[in-house]
Amino acid sequence: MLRPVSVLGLLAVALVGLGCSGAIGDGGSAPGPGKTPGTNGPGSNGSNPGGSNPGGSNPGGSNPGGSGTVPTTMNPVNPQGLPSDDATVPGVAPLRKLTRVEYQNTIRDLLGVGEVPAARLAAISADQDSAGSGFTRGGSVTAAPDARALLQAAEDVATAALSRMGSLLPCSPLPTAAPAQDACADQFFPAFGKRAYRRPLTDGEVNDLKALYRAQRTPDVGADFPKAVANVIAAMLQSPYFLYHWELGPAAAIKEGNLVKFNQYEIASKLSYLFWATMPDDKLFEAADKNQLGNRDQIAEQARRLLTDVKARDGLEDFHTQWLNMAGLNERQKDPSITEWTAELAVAMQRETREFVASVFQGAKADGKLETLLTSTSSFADEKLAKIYGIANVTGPDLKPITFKAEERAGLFTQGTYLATKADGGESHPIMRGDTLLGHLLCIKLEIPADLDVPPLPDPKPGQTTRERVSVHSMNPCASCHKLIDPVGFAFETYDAIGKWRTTQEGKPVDASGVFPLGGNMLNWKNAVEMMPQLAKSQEARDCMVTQWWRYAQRRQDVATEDASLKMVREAFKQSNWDMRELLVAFTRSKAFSYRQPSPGEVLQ
Amino acid sequence: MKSNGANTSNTTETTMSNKKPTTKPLTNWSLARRDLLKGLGIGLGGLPLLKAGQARAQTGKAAGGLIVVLTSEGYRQGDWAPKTGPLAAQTLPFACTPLEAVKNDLIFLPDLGNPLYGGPNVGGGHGSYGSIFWGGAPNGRVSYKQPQGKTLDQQVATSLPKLSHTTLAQAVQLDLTPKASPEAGSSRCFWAGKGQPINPIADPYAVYNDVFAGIMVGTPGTPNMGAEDPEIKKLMNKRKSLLDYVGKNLEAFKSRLGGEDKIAVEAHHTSVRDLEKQLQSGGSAPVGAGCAPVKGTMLNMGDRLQYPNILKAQMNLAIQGIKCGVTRVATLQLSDSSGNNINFAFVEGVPNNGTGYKSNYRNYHDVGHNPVFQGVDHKRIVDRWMMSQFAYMVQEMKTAGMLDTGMILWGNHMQDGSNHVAGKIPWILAGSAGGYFKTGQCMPAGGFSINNVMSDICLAYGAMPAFGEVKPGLKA
Repeated sequence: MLRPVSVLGLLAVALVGLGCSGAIGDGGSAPGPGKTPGTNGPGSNGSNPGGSNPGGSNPGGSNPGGSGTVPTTMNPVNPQGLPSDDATVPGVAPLRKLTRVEYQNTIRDLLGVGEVPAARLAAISADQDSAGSGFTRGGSVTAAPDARALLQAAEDVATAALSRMGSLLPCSPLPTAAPAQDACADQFFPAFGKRAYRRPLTDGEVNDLKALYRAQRTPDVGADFPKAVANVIAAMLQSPYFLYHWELGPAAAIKEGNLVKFNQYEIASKLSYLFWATMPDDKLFEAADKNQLGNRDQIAEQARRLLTDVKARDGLEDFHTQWLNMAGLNERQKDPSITEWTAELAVAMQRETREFVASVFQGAKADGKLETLLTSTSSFADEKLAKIYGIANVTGPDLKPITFKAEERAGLFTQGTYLATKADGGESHPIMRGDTLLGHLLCIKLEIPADLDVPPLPDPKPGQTTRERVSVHSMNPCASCHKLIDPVGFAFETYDAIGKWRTTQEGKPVDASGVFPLGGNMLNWKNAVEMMPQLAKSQEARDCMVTQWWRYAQRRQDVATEDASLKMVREAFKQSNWDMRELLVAFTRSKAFSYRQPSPGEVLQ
Repeated sequence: MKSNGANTSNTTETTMSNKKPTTKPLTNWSLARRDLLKGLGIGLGGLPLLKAGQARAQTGKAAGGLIVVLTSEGYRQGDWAPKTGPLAAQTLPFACTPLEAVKNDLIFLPDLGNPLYGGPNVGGGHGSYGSIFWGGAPNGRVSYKQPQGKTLDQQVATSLPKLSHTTLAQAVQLDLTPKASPEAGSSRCFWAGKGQPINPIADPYAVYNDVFAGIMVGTPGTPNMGAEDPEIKKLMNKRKSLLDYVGKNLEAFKSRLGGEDKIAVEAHHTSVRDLEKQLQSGGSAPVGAGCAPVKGTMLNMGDRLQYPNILKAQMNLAIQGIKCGVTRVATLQLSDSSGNNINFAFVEGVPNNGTGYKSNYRNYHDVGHNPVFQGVDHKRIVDRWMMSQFAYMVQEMKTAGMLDTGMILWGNHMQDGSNHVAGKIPWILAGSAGGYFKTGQCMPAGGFSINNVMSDICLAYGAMPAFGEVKPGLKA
């Protein structure tokens, strides 16, 4: 749980240590059919760097997005050995729109038309923080330009879908006679509507779609058969039932006491958007149709399936990008003197992040361990990125497995994306690096004193290191926060503004050493490579990881009345020897996953 | 090419980047308005909207428009703040010299209290951005604050008879990276209500389409549609049917919701309805003397050195939007809460490279924290450039005869970028709003808060003074 702490309070936090489990080898994950590492560029906002590769065709029903299982070994925690969380009273679920990433992925999987053009996507209102969770929901729609952007994006997508009508529609070849066309459309809308709104449509809703289709065929609009269908699709993509996470639809909520239980289709979407950042696939829809998402074992079984699907790369990337606020690196500029910095290098870093986090969770050698995420010396790089890392014999634009020098790098926080996003144009930014680590890895949120004037840093002086310049903050009035931020931030001083390893700055040896009170102990290190294993073994990081995934999944802060569920998930995490996959599966088994409190004023029917 | 204030050219077609090639598409917003209007069959059809705006019975004195601007990083006070008292009797300080010719139309408010920040020397200047035009109860000290109700622009606009656009929300390169934060309160300062940030349009081409074309015309650069083109009619019919369907869905959807969720979806629904009206009316067909939207040139939205050209285009469109009866209230955001993404190298005397703070170039945040670099105070130069932009807007309003009936609020959300003090806010008002305000003066420190001023503006427009007490001194 994020909590404000005082300096003295932090000293009292207990450190619990466990053994280090080593690295992940060559990453082990086999790229599935959906994404091919090294061949695709990133979307805007750092989303979906692998690009998308929609394929397949199956009228009205199947999922055209890439999918496939990545052979992965997991050691399930026995749920019988976990504490009960029956006492949990979950919080209110925030109403949220699809984020831009979710919108992109859902369009891809719904229609198989690839990505929404960047300019159109950029016009859609930007994602916002969701209920103080630190993770996003879709942007607000508060004025006509917002509605206009959604209309234009939907029209673009529908136009692109025209080329796939032969695959989307359940009639082949496309009929030429109007009655047959109408019959084809009538057959299409219920199946497509179920996938677009992620739950079965009522008869009234289907009739509305049929009426809209027929309106397109009148002389007033004058659309031919494919265009009329595309127009209806454009309308559906603007519907709140597509744009908002509200798979309840017009159905009555399932009331159990004072709580609402998510129905089968809501559970299907909660699973797919948590693990894949996109809509459910056919198997999830089928499970919902058959009432096979009604108990914890059934849900957990699906969770394991989703975790090993190649689409999980999308969800994993989305979580880690949001968690450490690493979006937009490909739009960053650096000082022109840093000649290695190019948009292509930034993209390579984003692709590395995607592949690396996937390799921790998926593949024959993947162990899912938090410690692996934070300390591994294995990763991926193309030729340009490998040069930044000082690794020879990597050629070409495709990502290749690499092994870092053990004395230089350890895990996600020492890789390019984190280091380059937490940096100024020309220099490292130890405050940003340290503050992000404290808040997001250890859940230590610092309170800035209300009466504090922020004094400017002194001008940089020739011959002065970044540490020397920033160290002015170690004096009052900044010291109360900076004595916590600076040690962990300075640990990364062996990396410059783009993450290159360095041992000197301004002709002086880099000092990345630090001491830090955590868990009742005083940790010390000479640099981040020594720091990260210590943090990885800390109870603070382990608990914080549960909190962060919880908030990502729920898009809200955790509440005290669901402590029993949090306790159950933490115990599962512990019993798995800190396997994050078991953390996630345990979360889907929790009462907090399947239930919610009604929103104030909500009509449950 | 350097720009030195109000003389900035708006006709350049040069992509003035000394950085990497930008990947943003060029947008040609040289839209032939007359052709479009003809193509839409619009002539006098838009008149009722304009008349409605002009004929409104005012409870306040202001019959004209209100433009609210927010910029960041405060000012170098010693080079910016005039002496207390009449402006006619003094020469304005260095940064305000571009305003000398219009100073009798101004009210300087260099030291407004900000009740959110508890005291005059309280820092947290970045966090004040999101709620600066609200000024109400805080929602937390650390994060970027968000208002819990309508901001000034909405309070005024929603009290007036509705035109096609409640407000015209614009921005300049607001969402280029690196942004201050993903939090809405760091980049959105105009709010329709709690949790409902207004998303401004950053592309003048899109503003032009939205305001003056009324209907989307497809890909920029494609030929304009011909007069009485039946395809346009069909397009409008199609969009109407689509939006009708969406509106019906939203109606049913929101009926299930309660509280803030319902309010948010109601706003969504209203947005769709407004869009539908705009499309059906062909926008607010500009009519009347002086209503002449400016044609633009090729502008690259992602090129930081195009900032002055984009800004000028947006200012022109804001003024024309009011003049043409599209809206009574326009808003313009000149940066997010930090300005990390603005490269002031286009200002004469400011170098391309800065101290490296937040980005390699001499960005707003950098000149704020580190005003003096290489022996030169760049912040005062940037301040003067900003004042030159304000002077341009004031002069344009004045020339159009809009300054007497309306006004501009040129806002900031911290005192000085070097101290980030959020408890002393420097604002400037321009125009008398129909004789409501007594212009040509600089108000003393400590006498007013942002809330006092906002309530006074509300009264000038006949709106409820929702932000707090009104104090004597500003009113004529």
